[in-house]
Amino acid sequence: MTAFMAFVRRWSSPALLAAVAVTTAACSEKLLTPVNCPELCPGGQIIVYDTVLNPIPGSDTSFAGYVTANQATGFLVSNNLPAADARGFVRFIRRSDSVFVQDTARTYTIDSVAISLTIDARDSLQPGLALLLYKLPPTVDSAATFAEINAALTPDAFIDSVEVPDTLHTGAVKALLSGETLARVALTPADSGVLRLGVALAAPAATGVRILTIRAGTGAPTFQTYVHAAVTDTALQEVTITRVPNYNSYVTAVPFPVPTPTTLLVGGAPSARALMRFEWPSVLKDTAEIIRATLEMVPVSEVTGLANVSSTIVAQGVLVDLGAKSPLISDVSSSHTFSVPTSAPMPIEVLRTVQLWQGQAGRPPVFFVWLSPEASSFSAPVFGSTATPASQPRLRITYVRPYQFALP
Amino acid sequence: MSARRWTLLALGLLSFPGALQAQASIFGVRGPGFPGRPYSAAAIGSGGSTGMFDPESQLSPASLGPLQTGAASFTLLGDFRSVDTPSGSARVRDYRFPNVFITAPIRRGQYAFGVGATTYLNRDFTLAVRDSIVLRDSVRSYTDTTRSRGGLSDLQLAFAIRTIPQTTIGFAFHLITGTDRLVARRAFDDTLYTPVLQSAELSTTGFGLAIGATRDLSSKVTLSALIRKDFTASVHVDSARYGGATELGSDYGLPWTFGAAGLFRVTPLLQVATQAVYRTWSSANQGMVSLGAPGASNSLELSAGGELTSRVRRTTQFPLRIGVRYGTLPFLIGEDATVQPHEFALSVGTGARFARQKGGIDISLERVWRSASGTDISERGWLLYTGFSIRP
Repeated sequence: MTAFMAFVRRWSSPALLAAVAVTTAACSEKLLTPVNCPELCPGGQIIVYDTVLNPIPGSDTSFAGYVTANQATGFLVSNNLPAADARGFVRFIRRSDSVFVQDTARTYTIDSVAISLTIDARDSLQPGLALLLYKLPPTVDSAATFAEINAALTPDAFIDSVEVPDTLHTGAVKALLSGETLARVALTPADSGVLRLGVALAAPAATGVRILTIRAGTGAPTFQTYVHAAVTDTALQEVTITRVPNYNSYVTAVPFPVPTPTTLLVGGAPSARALMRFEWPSVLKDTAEIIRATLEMVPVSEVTGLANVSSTIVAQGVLVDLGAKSPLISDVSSSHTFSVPTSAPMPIEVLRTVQLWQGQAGRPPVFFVWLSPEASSFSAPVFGSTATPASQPRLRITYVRPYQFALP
Repeated sequence: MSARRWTLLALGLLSFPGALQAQASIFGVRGPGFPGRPYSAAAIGSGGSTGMFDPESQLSPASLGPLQTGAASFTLLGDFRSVDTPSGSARVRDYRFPNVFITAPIRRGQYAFGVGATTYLNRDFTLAVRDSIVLRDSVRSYTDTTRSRGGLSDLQLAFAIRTIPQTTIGFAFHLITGTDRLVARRAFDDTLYTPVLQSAELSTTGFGLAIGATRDLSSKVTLSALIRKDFTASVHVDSARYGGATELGSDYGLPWTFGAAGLFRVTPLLQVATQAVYRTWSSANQGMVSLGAPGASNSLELSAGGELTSRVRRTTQFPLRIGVRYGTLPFLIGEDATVQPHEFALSVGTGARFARQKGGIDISLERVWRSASGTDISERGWLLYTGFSIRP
């Protein structure tokens, strides 16, 4: 026994030191344990619910007139495209008959002219595109119809054919005129210094392009005139006059569809938007944690447009429900991108917008659906409404109720 | 004080953790928590059998009887366990303070009092479940994580009367209170579903009264007894995501505790002790079942142990403590057929006093096995208790 206790005394101090060290090493926690339910799970379970809401009958409708063709960020040009046969019309700012050099207005002689257009979208699988540029007479103005513009695209008015390289999906193309071809863009006194440009498309098959406008921010059409000013100093003679459009639009052979009482239309020009109001259950408003929300729009007819070019339908909430003039919640939106042709339902994940409907100060349970780019797409989808129950919009909500934490 | 003892003290102070959290046991998940043990590290070394005689333990207020001078003690617990469930195994580790006690004799030793805190129920756990459900006509896999941090603390004010020869009678008031912070998260594999994340706080309050007595039958035999009643625990939930506290109405009963123990000084160098503690946790059964838990049943803890020292005049220097313990656990598991888990533990420990008996360190290492018959759920672990005490 004495030997044993001597052993205990001998090793107790190291044991104390080791114990303190080991205890110190245990400072970090590691608790995660895989368990099986229900034996080892607290009684409360996360139960997921899935429900489908339809708009309030009769409360869903389309309104037109939001963005007109001349307010769009792109203008459409096509050659017999079934979705929309379109011609472009660009009116540039007036070009003066003199330039200022050394604070003095001086006459000039034109060396060359460049007309630049920026392709924003095209059928990337369609080769052999060429933009046909025409000088339109002053009689063509913003009220011109497709027939009037198309009639003005005559050989006499032809300026140039600008090839669109097959490899160019987006980017600028340019027509450069000099020498004898300058006469095609010569401005007559009747023009009052204003170049009116008609744009058509030539291609081996029916197709189309979207060209950026001045409203796109960048890539606007430009009309550049390279001149020699009447000034003795040769270093000051070369001047470039650049003009951008003050009006830019397009016309279609057949107008885009207009809203009807039984369908929801988005797109077209002037653009249409669809408004949908929902009955918002109190469980979703006050209690539920929503984990997924999907707005499903069902086309009532095949959606056509420009092949291999995507369009997007956008769903946004509104700050207050003022009908057609409801202000949109600008910083939260959801979208679904589609290609044509399609008849498939279009799902839009709208969780963030729907979450804004929750709580006592929640936004009204309303969706505005519109097509992007607005007023510059060959597509104009027509969706079912509550008047067509088989194809009415559906808002599918997946949510959980508060977890019953008290349950052990 | 020698350099070695300074080193011990410095290492002890370094061992304070940044976070005081633990997963007490997988067998506390289906109840309000896993019961704590209000023992000092020294008492743990003898299996808890000396708990009703140890003035640094808080089981019985009568254990203040041997108190000679004021003391402050606290216990650190390092917990290293392996958990086996039908869903897999995990090694978990954690750290907590299960016992803090400040005691002092008053009126020239005629009386003594103590103020302390122990773990009453520990509800620290993190559970992971992998499963799938059918949503929108497709099977969606997900991972659920349920996390709980907190439990109930037992704040004690104890008072002992030592005016009766060979007898100590103790009284204690217990405030049982605590907060349980809970987080439930579900993450779907399909990221179109955002993770579910919900949290809540459970706050619970209750109180209890205890009376204990210790009697020296002879110089070699001391007996002790304890009766304690803890009253209903009142539970509140503050989980509303949109504000507001909710009265849960889910109170549950707390148990009576009956304890008896004997301490036998076999020789001047050897003492042995045995102890039995019975708690009527079945009083919580109805409340547990109404909350959806499998239920609760009475628990029994039996322990025996001894302490062997090498020098009669220096019994506090490196004694060898050993103990054995068996107990049933109060909170049942299982759904259709409920099972009461049980545990078995072996322990060993020692300790030392330094700085003229003013400072002390005790360590105990406990090997514990817990299981529930008829299930594939079990755990085994090493529990390392380190106790520090100061006697100014």
